[in-house]
Amino acid sequence: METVTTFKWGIDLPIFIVVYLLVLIFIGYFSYRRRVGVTVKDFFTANRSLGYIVLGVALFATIASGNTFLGYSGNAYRTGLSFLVAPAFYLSILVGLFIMAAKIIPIASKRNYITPGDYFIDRYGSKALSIILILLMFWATFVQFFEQDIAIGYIGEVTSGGYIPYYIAAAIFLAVSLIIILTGGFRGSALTNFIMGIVMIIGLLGVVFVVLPILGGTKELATLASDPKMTSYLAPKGVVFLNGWLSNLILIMFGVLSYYQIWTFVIANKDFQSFRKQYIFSPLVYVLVPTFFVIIGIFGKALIPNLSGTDADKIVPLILNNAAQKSLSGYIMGEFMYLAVISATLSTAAAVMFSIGSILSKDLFARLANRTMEDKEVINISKIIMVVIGILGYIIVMTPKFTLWRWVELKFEIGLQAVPALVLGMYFAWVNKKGIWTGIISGLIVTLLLTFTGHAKVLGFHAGVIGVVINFVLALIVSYLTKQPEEIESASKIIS
Amino acid sequence: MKNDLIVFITVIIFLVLATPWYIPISVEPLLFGLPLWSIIVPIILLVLGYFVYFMMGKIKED
Repeated sequence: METVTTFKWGIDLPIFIVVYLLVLIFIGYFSYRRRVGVTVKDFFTANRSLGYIVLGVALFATIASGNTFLGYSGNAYRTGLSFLVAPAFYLSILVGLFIMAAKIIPIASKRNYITPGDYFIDRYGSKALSIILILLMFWATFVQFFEQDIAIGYIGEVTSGGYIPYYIAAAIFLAVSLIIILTGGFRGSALTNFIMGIVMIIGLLGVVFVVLPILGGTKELATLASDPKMTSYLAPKGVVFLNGWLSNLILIMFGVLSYYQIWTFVIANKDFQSFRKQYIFSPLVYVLVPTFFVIIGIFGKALIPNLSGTDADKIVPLILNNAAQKSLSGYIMGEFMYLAVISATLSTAAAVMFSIGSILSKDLFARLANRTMEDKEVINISKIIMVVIGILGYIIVMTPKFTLWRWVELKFEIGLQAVPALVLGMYFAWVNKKGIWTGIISGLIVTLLLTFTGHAKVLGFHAGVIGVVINFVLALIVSYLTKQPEEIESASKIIS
Repeated sequence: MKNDLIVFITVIIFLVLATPWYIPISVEPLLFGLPLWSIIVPIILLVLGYFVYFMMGKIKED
């Protein structure tokens, strides 16, 4: 059993990070040089020209955030093997993407959609409904951005070994993200995310196959099983455990569809079969990466058993510190893992800023302005929004007392209420705006009432999941009861 | 319509089998220092992931 140790990383770590960031900026600039004219389609989707390996790895890098790389092991440390739900809900993301991609890729290609607003307005013919749906999705996306901002300053300070203060590290990371997306557009964002995704996978493999064995490996892990107090930690049981597991699958499977960046990455595919090719390697990555984080957390419990509360979130840096003290290979792998953590945070922050800028400029600004804008004007407005979002993020980083947890809890649960409109509209021509309005309002009321009356979970089911089930059911019932032949005919032309 | 059915069946099978209600959950036996059930779960998930890939291949594009 190890004690908690402090360890000072050498100056080589910040140098290594600066070189890495410069390479990323170069790739963003290189993408800018490769662009085909200044068009919205190229800037927002790279003309659907990127291959499945780049898109698949980049999408993974976008989904796996700083929270995944620091928080998941911390959560496994606290809750035990019940957090094996993480690989299950990560895989459920792939199922959610399948539900969406099977329909939206051909529809978007046929109808020339670029943003979700294009689809909502075309499908439901209501500007008000389209704006509400975009705002619901904005909520989920923006809260995810908050999470990255808060992580980014902390990670910067830790990885620079204290050489670079928190506020400067955060400014550097946000500036790098902005340079990449402003100069490279979607192409730059996807290519740099691809590189970062590879670094993330290598860093994680290094921890599992180099760092953990240095610290005792499976022998150390087995010490937990010999402690009778650890039974419920290693073997969780009961209806609430299973309901909670299922609830997480549903929450993430549909919740992830409310992220703007997911839309962007899905419609950037040439066709559905090209999108499917990502699944040659995606299940492996989406299952193994979170599983490894759970193992790291459980290993941490065996190695350093007495961390409580939020201290458990420091388990990854603590394990790295211990390994770095013991051997050179532990030190090198530790550096790589820090690079992976930075990559996880930067890739998500860049993709989110890019998607918010591109979608809000087209779906909110252009629609509220109520006029057709030139491609160049849309791109310029999107760039301004990206910068504003970046600055806002920096202000949040500089305000660490800002309490977000309550809102973070509601991230998916509120964004989730936009998903029935997104999914049902693609699958059923008779689903109409009356049904969708009824579903959204009822789903939101139920979710908020349950959450704010202290029932964030009922028998293990999240308030948002209960809300979205009601949303789905009412949207279907009301649409069916109010269906009009002419509406069905016009919707059929769009979705079939 | 056939495509929609493929998606629906995939989602239901995934939700049923990705929840470990049918796996005996206990501390012993251990494998690589971890309870066996915690090794079985990711293996089943991997199989389910490639089941999704297989089902996606059944989708017909116009």
